[in-house]
Amino acid sequence: MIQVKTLVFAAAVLCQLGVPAWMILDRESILRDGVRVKFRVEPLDPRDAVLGRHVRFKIPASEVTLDEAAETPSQVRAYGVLELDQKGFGRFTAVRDEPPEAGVYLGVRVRREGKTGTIQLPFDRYYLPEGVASEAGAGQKQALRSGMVEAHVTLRVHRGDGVIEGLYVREKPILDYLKARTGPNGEEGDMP
Amino acid sequence: MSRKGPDWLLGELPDLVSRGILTPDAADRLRSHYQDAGRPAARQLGLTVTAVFGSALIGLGIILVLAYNWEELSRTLRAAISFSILLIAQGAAGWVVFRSVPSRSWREGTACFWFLAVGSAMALIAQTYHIPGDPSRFLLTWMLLAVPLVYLMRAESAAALYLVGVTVLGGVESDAGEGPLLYWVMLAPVAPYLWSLLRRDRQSPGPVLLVWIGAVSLIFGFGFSISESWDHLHLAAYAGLFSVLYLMGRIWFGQAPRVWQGPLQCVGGLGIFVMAFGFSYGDAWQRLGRLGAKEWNWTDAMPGMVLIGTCLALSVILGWLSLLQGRPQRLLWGSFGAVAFLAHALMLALESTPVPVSLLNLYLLVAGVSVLVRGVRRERIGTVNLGMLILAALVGARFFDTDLGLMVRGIGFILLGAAFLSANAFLVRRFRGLRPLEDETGQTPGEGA
Repeated sequence: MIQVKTLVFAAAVLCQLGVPAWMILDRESILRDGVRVKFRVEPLDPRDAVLGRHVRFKIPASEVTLDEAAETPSQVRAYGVLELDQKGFGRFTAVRDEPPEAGVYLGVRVRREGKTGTIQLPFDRYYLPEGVASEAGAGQKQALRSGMVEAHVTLRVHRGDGVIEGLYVREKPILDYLKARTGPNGEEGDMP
Repeated sequence: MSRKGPDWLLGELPDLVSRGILTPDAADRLRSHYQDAGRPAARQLGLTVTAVFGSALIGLGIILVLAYNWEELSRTLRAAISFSILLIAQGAAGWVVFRSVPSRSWREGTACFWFLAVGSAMALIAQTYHIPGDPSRFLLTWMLLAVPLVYLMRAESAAALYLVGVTVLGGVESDAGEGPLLYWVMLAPVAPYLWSLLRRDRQSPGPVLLVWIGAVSLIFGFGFSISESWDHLHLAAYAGLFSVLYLMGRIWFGQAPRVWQGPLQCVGGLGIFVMAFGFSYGDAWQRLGRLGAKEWNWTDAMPGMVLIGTCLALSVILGWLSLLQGRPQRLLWGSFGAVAFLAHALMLALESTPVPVSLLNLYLLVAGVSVLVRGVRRERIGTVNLGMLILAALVGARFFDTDLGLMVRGIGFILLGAAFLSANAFLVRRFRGLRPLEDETGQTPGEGA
């Protein structure tokens, strides 16, 4: 007869493996089946653009007109309906309480005030190899900080969930951009 | 067993033999018996501590190495590495659990490593997929996944990490403006483990450390539960909490041979002193008075009201238990919650601060004197010094608090210091030779009360 201890141990092991496994499968399925949506990012964090291991960025808040005015300001979970332009950049056009039956949409938190809904996406970091990040050098950080370069993030969006696919600076993946700006021995290249 | 007692006894043996109290043979037998007393326990503790720290450092080191975010590794490979660390930890834990490994250090070290591996697996996958930071969700998932290993491993290191994790989770939730319910609910899963541990052993380092962490966690938990706008509730709730902790400590840890082995009375006694001292100033009450103008909101205030009610009820029950045990002196410190409540009610009713300020000063004065008197009666110089410290703090605070001139204050301090030293010298002379172990009784703040 199987002991209670064995059952508890097996359940604990399965749950502990199951949660990360689910995280992986969920993200992989979004990356595989999701629609690619681009969002422009604001000039990177003025203090810590490259924090050694990740780049912080901010997607500007979007404002949409609500179907019904909110009586008091509140923050709710909802679904933001996305419209893509010709270059693939996304723009929120409406907010729904339930997932729409068709189209591209993201689960978001909406701040409702009167007829205006403000959507702030939670995506704010992109991890980099520590070596590349630290070798990127002060010149690149300065360029990113000052907003001298145009940057955007691409997400894969599927059934209301989104996964970051890449962060691009001047249409180049950030890793390639940083490496191109850093010489073979780590010395800085030209400023962008 | 501690070494202090045996060491003292071994030092006394030659004298006892020379005075004919013990025969040389009996002295040899005692020497042989006590030579290594306490050493196995100390050695075991050392092994356990190094095992826990070692495994924690290895676990954290692996996390840092993987967090390097090797660009050459594919997502699949990085995921595989994250899983392999977790699998190794689970395998080691399974070996300890099912082979019934008796080594305590192995059990504690493995549990610590397993605990960290669960969190690191999730964190590294979150990093691989650039998942936005949601510390509350992350900590909640981690703690829920870690609950079973506390019971499977029967390891205090895992329970300690869990308590720390839940406290951090409560803080994150509080910062996000969420209610305190999650913190209190998350304490529940380890409560049976703590209870069974304390029923079995209340003086070993592991259980004592857990109670220390639990007591400090409760202080934070009360902060999470009371909306910042209700400082009035903070006063009553914390006064009640410290009273309850003190009384519980006296009842369940009263026989602790060392101060650190009485965590509840230490935290409770120190909290009571700090609060009583703080509210012996008029400014603290005036600040409360200003905040009291805010509009009352039952929804915000409800968690704090529940905590105050619970503390008051527990104080009454624990006070009654103390009386049944024939220890009415505990009520002086244990009644601080009621005293603070009364002082607060007086301030609200009279709309003035001198009355509550006087009450708190009187409370500290009575407490200090009673600790001092009790120390003298029981010939415990540590308790005497504690009583004098309380009185000195009170007198010193009032000196700075009043408009007396520098000369008067200076003379006052000199007289106070001289009284301190004289009393100490007198008591040392009086106690010398009577109780060689007078300071090894582990009396804690408030014992004299």
